[in-house]
Formats: sequence, C-alpha cells, structure tokens
Amino acid sequence: MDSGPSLPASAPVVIIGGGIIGTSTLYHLALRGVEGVLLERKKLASGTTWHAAGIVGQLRDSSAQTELGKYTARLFRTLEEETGQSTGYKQNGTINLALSPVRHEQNLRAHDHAKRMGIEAQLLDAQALASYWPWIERDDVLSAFYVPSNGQVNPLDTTVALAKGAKSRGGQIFEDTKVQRLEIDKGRVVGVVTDHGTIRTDRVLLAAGMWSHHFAKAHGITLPLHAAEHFYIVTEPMDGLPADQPILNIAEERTYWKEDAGKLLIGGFEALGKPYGADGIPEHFEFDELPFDLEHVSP
Amino acid sequence: MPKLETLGVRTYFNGPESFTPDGRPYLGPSAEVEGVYIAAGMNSNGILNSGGVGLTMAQWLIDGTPSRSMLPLLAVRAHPFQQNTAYVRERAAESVGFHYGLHWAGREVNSARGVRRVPLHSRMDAAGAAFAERIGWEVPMVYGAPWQDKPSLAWKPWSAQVQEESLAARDTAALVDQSMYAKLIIQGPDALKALNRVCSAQIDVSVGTTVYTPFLNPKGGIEADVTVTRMTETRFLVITGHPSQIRDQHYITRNADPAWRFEVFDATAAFALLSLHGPQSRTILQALAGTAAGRDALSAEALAFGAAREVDLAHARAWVIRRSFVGELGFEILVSSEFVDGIYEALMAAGEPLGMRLMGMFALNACRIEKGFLHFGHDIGEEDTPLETGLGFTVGWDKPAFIGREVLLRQREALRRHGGTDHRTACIHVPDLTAEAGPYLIHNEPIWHSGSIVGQVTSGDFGFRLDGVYGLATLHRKGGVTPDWISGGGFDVQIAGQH
Ligand SMILES: Cc1cc2nc3c(=O)[nH]c(=O)nc-3n(C[C@H](O)[C@H](O)[C@H](O)COP(=O)(O)OP(=O)(O)OC[C@H]3O[C@@H](n4cnc5c(N)ncnc54)[C@H](O)[C@@H]3O)c2cc1C
Repeated sequence: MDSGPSLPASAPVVIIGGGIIGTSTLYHLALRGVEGVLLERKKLASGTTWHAAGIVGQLRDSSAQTELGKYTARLFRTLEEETGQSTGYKQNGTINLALSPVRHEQNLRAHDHAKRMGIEAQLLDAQALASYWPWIERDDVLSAFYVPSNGQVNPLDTTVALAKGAKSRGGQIFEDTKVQRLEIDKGRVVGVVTDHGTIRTDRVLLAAGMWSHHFAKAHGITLPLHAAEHFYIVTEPMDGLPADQPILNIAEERTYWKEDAGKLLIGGFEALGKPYGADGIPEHFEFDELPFDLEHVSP
Repeated sequence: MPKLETLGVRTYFNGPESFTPDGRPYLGPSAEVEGVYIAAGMNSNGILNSGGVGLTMAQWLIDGTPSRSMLPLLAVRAHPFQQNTAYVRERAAESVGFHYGLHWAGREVNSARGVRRVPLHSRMDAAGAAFAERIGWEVPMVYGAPWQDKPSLAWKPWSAQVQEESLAARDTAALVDQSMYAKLIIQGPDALKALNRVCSAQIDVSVGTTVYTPFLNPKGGIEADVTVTRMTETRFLVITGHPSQIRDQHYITRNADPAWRFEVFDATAAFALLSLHGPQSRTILQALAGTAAGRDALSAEALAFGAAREVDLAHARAWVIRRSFVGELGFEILVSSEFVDGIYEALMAAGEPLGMRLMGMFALNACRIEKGFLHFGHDIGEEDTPLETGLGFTVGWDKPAFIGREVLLRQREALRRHGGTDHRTACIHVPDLTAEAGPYLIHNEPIWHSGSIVGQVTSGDFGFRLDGVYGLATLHRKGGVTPDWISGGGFDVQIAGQH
C-alpha cells in the first residue's frame, strides 16, 4: 500500500469517482476557489463515460433544467478555448421524428416549449427532412422536430479537459485510488478511507456511477440505481455522410443515428433492457466492454 | 427507418450504464448521513447533463443549496426500501425503455410491482381499481376501467370513469384512499419550535386545528406543501405527499436547533387516510357517528373548515379533519390502520345508497386543477414564494422568526408599491374545447400577451364538473403581474402549435 500516490491528510471536499460527473464537479468547485480532491479507483472516465455516444440535447421539461442544459452546451465550447484540450464538440443538430399522431402532437408541443425556452427549433416537413436525411424512407413520417443548436461531444476528451481545467485551479486528482468506505461519526461524515490512506473531510460527493448503489447501501444510504447494458453499432465508412450530419432520433423504433468519424453510429434503448452486475461490478472493470447480444437487440 | 441494408457493420458495442426506478438521476444531500452528497444514476444522459450537474453540485457542496430548483431530481425523494437490489435490478431493465417511451398521463410500469400497498389494497382491487406505481406504492388511479396502453393526450380509455367520479364529488359523494400520503408525527416539548421555523404559517394554534402551510427556504421559496394538525400541546401531525415522505422529515430536522427536544416519527404505515368529498359527505359521516352527540360533533358548527377532531366513527375512534383538495364540502379521515376496514365497510354501507363512488387519483387531480388548488412539484416549488402563488394567506406575519421571512417582508413591500409580484400563479380556462377532442392543457404550454410569451401552464386537464379545459399557469411581467393587468385580458395560450 505504500507505492501509491500520497494523499492529502484533509480536504474541503472529496469526490468519489472520476467519470464525467465527478470531474465536472471538481472543475466547478475549482472555479469557485474550492480545491477539492477527486479519487478514482482506476483511470479517469474508465467506467461508463469513455464509451458514451456523446449526444447533447438542451431542452428539458422545466426552465431550471433547460437553463442547465444550455449551460452545458456552452461549456463544451468555452472549455476547449480555456484549456486547449479539444472536447470534440460540434453543433450538428438533432432531429426527432414522429411516426404516430401522439408523437406528432408531442413534436408540436415541444416546438412551442422550445420557443419559450429561447432554443431555436423548426418543424420540418417530409421535403425539408429529405434535405437533411436523404437516406431515409419518409412515407410514415408525420413531422420532424429539428434543433440546430444541439450537438455531440467526445466524452473522454471532455473529461480530460475538465480535469485539466480543475487541476490548473488547484483541484487534485488521484487515479488508481479506491475508496473503501466512509468514516461516519454521529451521523456525520468525517473521513474517506482509501487503499492509500485516509482523508479527513466533512463533505463527500458520491459520483461513482453504477458502483454507487452498493457503496451507498453499505453505509445505509439510499441510492436506487442499477446498471443495464446499452448497445450501439458503428457501420463501415459511408460515402457522402457529412461531419455535420444532424443526429436522428426515431422514438417509435427506439433508435438514434449519428455521424461518427465518417461512419454511422446507431444506438438504441430497448423497451426492456438487460440488467448488468447484480452482485456488483467486477473488480477489474476498466475501459471494459460487454459481449454484444444480437438476439436481444434485434427487433 | 433509414435504408442502409447495404452498409456493413464495423463495430458492435455494449457498455453498462446506471438506470434508476423513475428514470431520473439522484442529486443532492443524502437523507441518512450528513455531509454526504450524491450525483449518480444518470440514465444515459450523463454527458449532456455533465456541465449543469457539476455546476449545481459545486453550489450544493459550497453553499449548502443549489441556485435553481432541482425538485424532481433530489436524492431525498427516494424511500429507504429502494435500497433493495432486486427491486432496482428489475426496474432498471424497464427504465432503459423510458428513453423512447411515450410520456402521457397513463404511462405505467410493469416491473417490480406491488411493493407497497395501502391497508385497503385488496378491497380497492376488488372494487376495480387500476393502479399506478409511485415510489413502490400501488396507487388507485381510477375505478372500473382497466389500464390500457393506448397513449393519448386528450380523451383516454378511462375518461368516462374519471368523469363519473368527478361528477360524484360534485353531486353526491366520492371516497378517495389517500393512505399512501406520508404522515409524520412531530412531538416533544420543542416540536412547535421546529415546525414554526420551517412553516410559513403560525403553527401555535389551538389543539384540534389543522393548518395548511408551505415549508420555506431562505429565499422564501416553497420546499413543501403540507397540512399540520395539532393533536395535543406537544404533538403535531404533518400530512404530505408520498414523494416528500423522506424529504420533509429531513428538512425539519436539518433546520432545527440541535438543542431542541423533539422527535420526528414516521407514522405513514400506522395510519390509513381516507378522504370524502361532496354534498352528501357530511350525511354519510354522520351515519357512522352512532349517537346524537356524535352527529353533532360532525355538524357544520362543531367542525368548521380546518377543524380537526377525534370522534366516534363506526366502532372506532378516528381523527376527522374538515378540508377537501377537490374543492367540495369534504373530510379527511385519519385512523389507526387496524380500524380502516371496519370504517370502510360502514362508509360504503352508508354512502353507496346515496350515490357515493370511489374516486382515483386521475379524478382527484382533474378536480383540484379545476378549483385552482396548487400541486407541489408542478405548480409550486423552490423558486416560488407564497406571495407569488396566491398562498400569501398562509403567512403568519406576526409569528416568531421563520425561514424566508425577510424575503417575504421585502416582497410584501414591493407588492404594496407595484400591486403585483414579477411572477404570479393564475388559473386559466380555455373555452370551446371538448373532452373528446381536446387539445388539453398538460404542462409547459406558452401563454401569449401582446405578441410576446408571458408565461406557461404548470398543470392542466379536462375538468368534468365545469365541463372544460382548465389549468394553472405562471405569468411573468416586469414591474408586476397586477390584478388590473390580468383582468385586462388579451391572453392567449398556445397548445400544440395552435393559438
Ligand atoms: C453506450 C452508451 C452510450 C451513451 N450515450 C450517451 C449520450 O449520447 N449522451 C449522454 O448524455 N450520455 C450517454 N451515455 C451515458 C453516459 O455515458 C453516462 O451517463 C455518464 O458517463 C455517467 O458518468 P458518471 O460520472 O456518473 O459515471 P462513470 O463514468 O461510470 O464514473 C464513475 C467512476 O467512479 C469510479 N468509482 C467507482 N467506485 C469507486 C470507488 N469506490 N472509489 C473510487 N472510484 C470509484 C469508477 O471507476 C468510474 O470511473 C451513454 C452510455 C452508454 C453506455
């Protein structure tokens, strides 16, 4: 246990988990002048973050959450300028198709809502849709809700940029440092015990992604979540697919389509997914992927 | 679907990600351990939320509170039973599907059902209840119409039954099982202090009185929407919505002085809660009173609006609180769980001949919107003060200091000067729409005035008692949303593209 990094004896805030969520919080603490400590059991982004499709939509149900969505899109741009680390952000837009009357009404309502939220949006008819997505059959499309200012980002690069921004302002990151447990005294957290020693602190953020449920439960903390598998495929390079090809969501078919380095990335959210890791996530998990299940994802 | 049959696949990818029972992340302080904050369960939206979540968590960790309302995402909405791993595993599979699932009032889950049941569950089931799941609870939504997966934003497969239930509340009586509401006993020598600190209303009322009150935050915003009944000098009962069961306990204890002597006892399971609404409700209750004295105790004189009494009911003793969330003559019946079967049988025996019906949550919600009663989480939340939402009547201006008081005092001053706050809740009605065709007000429909958007709908539905589309809305106007401006008219709501 003595070969690892040497941890500070105490910290104003300790963050457990170096995915995009923990790293972003470390960055924002640093912006406010608070030098937090982030602990990551393996490498930054090696849990779920590294392989995300990186689609970035801004419109949410409430004004408060939409403001945060718009803030995130802005941050992806300024972060690159600030840190010199590319986030891979591009503003290629998203298009949501409606193939049924109810979805069509929802597209109309979403269009009204976007207007109020100050997010530019258009409803495309089949003709206009053809100019953006010439490859798709449009006979069954009732409407297409287009938000030009949405886009996509490279999640791994973005995490690296956030880490860079945080460190330049005094935030500290320790990789290969696993938090074993919290130290709790009279219902208050007083420290974080790792495989490289203990840090005294009275503020802890649990941002350990799919690991969080079991970790919280071990301390009597309620955190209801469970991992499930998420599938996508990437095609061979496709001729004539522009880098700014808008992302397509086909809710009725449960798929999303986006450009990925000259290829098409097609992902989905099945009506009933596949839970993963009921007895915990394997100890060695790091930039891991799971076996593809063609039968499960076939319609 | 895109025509890409000819394109080969280069990569097949599968990666794990965390999903939550309601499809929303858990953010903010944990209820159990002070100093531990949570930001997890991103439901495959962690990248697009990363900036906003990081910004918000940093505020929480530094300032102790976020700058924006995070109401639907709060970690403290979870109930401790949700630590059960089999439950989260089964639900996670279905949560994946929420992504492209259709959002409509009848959206239902099929996994991990039947976890929390009210004492009368089997009877409600036998009476034909269609249940929906809410944080484990089986909640009766409507009676006599089985759940059907036929998404619609206007008339629904059970609308005829919702109509009958709503009309029963207006014309005869409607009985609602609200036992899934949280019941918290706050007791001890300093219980009053603890409540008076978080509540805007004066809680130091005479024993046997119920007070409707928000809990406030330092900005004067609404953290909870509850009723408090003073049962004895030192014992209070707080009734709150089921999503606030843990949140409200946490809020009371977190804001209390550590030296104060009181405890919060979660009595949710100990009590059943029925509510009875409609012109026949008093007659029905009185039929259960047994004696002339008992009937008198339930008379309009003895039990004024807001009064709470422990009375004889069937062969039990029950607390009866005179109030109604649907805006009719109405009573809440709070009784220790073992007595509720007996009381239910007696209520049905007395009520059914008079036309009483069971009423589910669809009708309850439609009725409260029709009457302009606010719902915490939809119409009011952390960024709205009582003065902005028509709840100024709850504020106990003369009571001892309470959280948010300074902000309210300043706002009251501004209100006196301008005649209105910059944002204000209002009731709206859209004429000439039918229940069959709609379109309905649901949520977020923009409201226009003189060519600009001045607000949005916060909740809406078809109101069957008044036979029209009704809603609640928030209006904004620099310099004040004044009564004159509102009564001047010229408002226009945009629903699905149509003005
Ligand atoms: C295939 C796929 C596609 C996706 N596409 C999108 C998309 O298009 N848009 C979008 O917004 N989202 C998308 N997502 C979701 C997104 O990837 C996640 O929501 C996000 O990465 C979650 O970040 P996190 O920081 O919460 O978790 P993680 O990235 O998993 O980070 C948690 C970290 O905590 C560490 N950790 C755990 N336990 C401990 C411990 N005890 N001590 C120290 N460290 C610990 C882990 O090693 C891990 O690195 C996608 C996900 C998948 C799987």
